Amino acid sequence: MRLYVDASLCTECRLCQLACSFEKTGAFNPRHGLLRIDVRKSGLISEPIVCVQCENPLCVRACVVGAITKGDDGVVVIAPDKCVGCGRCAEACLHDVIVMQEKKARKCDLCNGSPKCVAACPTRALRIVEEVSQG
Amino acid sequence: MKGYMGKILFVDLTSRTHWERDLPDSMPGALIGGKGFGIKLLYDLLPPGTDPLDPANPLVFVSGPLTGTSAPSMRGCLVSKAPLNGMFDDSYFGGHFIQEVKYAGYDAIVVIGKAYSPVYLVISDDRVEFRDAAHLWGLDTYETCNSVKAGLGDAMFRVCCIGPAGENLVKFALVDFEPHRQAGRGGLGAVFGSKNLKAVAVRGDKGIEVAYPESFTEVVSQAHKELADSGDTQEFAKCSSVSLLPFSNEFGFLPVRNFQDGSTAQAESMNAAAHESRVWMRHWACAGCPIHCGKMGMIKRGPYAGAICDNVEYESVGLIGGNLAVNSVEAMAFINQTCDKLGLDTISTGGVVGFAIEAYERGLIDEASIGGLPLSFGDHKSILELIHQIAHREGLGDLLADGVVKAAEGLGNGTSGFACAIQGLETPAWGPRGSAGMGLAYITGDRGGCHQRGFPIGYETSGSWPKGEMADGWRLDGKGELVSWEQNLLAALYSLTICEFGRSGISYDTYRSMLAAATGLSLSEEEFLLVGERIWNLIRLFNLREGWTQDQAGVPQRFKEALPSGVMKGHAFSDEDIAALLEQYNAARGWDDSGRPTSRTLGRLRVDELMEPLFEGK
Repeated sequence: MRLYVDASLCTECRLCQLACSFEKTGAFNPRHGLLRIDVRKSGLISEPIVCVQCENPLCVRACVVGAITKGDDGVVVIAPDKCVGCGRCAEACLHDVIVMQEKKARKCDLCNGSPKCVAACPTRALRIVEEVSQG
Repeated sequence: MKGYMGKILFVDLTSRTHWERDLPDSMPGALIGGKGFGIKLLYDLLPPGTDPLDPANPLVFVSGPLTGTSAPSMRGCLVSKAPLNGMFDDSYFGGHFIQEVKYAGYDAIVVIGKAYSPVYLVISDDRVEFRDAAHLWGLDTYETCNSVKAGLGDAMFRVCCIGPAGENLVKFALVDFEPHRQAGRGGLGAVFGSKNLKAVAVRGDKGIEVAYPESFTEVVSQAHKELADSGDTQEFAKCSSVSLLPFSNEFGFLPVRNFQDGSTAQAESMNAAAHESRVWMRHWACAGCPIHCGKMGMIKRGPYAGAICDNVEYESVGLIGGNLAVNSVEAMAFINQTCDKLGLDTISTGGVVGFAIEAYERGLIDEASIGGLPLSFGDHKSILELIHQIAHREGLGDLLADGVVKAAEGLGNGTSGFACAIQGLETPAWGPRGSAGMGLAYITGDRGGCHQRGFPIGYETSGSWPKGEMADGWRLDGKGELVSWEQNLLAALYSLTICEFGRSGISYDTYRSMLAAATGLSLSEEEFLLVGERIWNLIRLFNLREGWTQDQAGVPQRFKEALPSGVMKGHAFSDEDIAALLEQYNAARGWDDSGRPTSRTLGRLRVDELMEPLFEGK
């Protein structure tokens, strides 16, 4: 599964980021959420930018200590105990959705299959899609 | 206490210094936040009798304990002494700015003093910088915001700023909170201007914790459910506040041609469907709000084609579309955006320009003073030109820039009879004729005649309020009790910095439950209302201290003339009505005949315990 974004429905309310930050840090601050919102064209457009759990995750390749792995379920996960906080993964990320906080890298892990951001989105701009296996 | 950040930041522009103070432990329980903290800080910090444009007048940005969390529809509050009418002013704004103030670690930011030359403030967590704003002076609010953000390199800085109107000390200049929200009323943009303060940018890395995370999540879900289940809220979500237009037009509350009428045959051409089909393209929301009353769009036709703009909310539709008879939604949207860019409150601007057009039509304005501009209702070109003259204080604009009351004093010739302001604040898009409750709310409003300090029209037209039946709009009975109750309730809710549109769906119990889950502060319904009443009394003491007298609680001649159309046709507001309503109201509040709180009332509300200043010196 992965996140699907329909930016035409995004209202820029940031409830997704607030829900993510609360789930992952126990406190509210949208910049601690593991997705971001790109606002363009004088505010006419706001587009949620999410981790798409890349087929070829550059973050995995950037990590020098093997802390990031892509599991059988396709989800790319960081092991916090192995992360040394060098920030290479965040530099390599295609979408700039890896957050460095307290010398650890953090990224979207789809909340064990029920993403809080999707539940919090009032307009269905964020949804879950199940991918048909190509294997 | 969780929910609060526990600190207040003080910034002195004169000495270019800043310092922090701990939020006193007594404040949350006594005043909750928002409006309550705002009046307490203003009461303490403003030297009595200070002119609003004096450097000593503080600007106070205040949050509430739920601001910046996932609790829906919370706003920020900007408090100062108002340049327009010299009263207490609390102006609420949506957007994302006040949330960053909390993420930076502050419940409130107090700005005092005056910079030697134009500056803007950059606040990043506990770092405060004073930056030269010479290159920003003269820019409009959109240009200023973009320029400030471009120089900071972090898109998540949030910016508020003034336009030329604030720089030129227009008495109804607003403060713009990017991208599309404003602290509009009372002229707080002129306080910025008087301090040589062009903009404030803020960001923060701190998280807001809540006292009981699980129950907080539950009660926030309940609030979301109430919003989703409310027909009124869903109307705002779909159509913004302009959904109220058919109602106000039917009853005769809509301002039409400087309140000469209360309804118009053109209402259909400016209703939600017209805006939706001609301008709007998508929904837009403030931080943490599921309602998305905002609409982003583009003007696609006519002389203003190409402008990307947000929606024109009901008050602006009323004051531009109705009061100035500009019926084209494109012209309305462009005038609305022009006011935002120049930094002018659309309500006061619509009032002042409507007044000027009527005076011109009556031959009371010298043509030379407006540069040969042929003013007439509905002529958006000349209206736009006059708006620019106001923002830059050119020609007649200089006189109009002081507000409609002062403009009428300057023009003389009986023009004060149609200068539509109550307690010095230009009347919003709800004419008081046919609603004694609304009239009473206007003449007793703590920041002047404002529709957001009590909105009895809804109770009067539905025939009931939470304590039982309510008399029809034109009747006086029960209105003192109704208005004082709603003012207290709103003062308590505004201490949470709620948004009116959130209140259209969220129950008062749920608001209190969210407060309790976030902070541990568990207030009964009675205690909650008592906080509101305490705040309202403290504000009255402030206004009295600053020279307010009950003589100001009157209405212009225009509202004493019979309403020409609508359901409320024929109704008017008389001096006898005002005297009878004030008598009821003062009795309901435990105030004396001159509107002064009695010592017994102050003791009951424990306002006397709030008289000691919170902070000694710096």
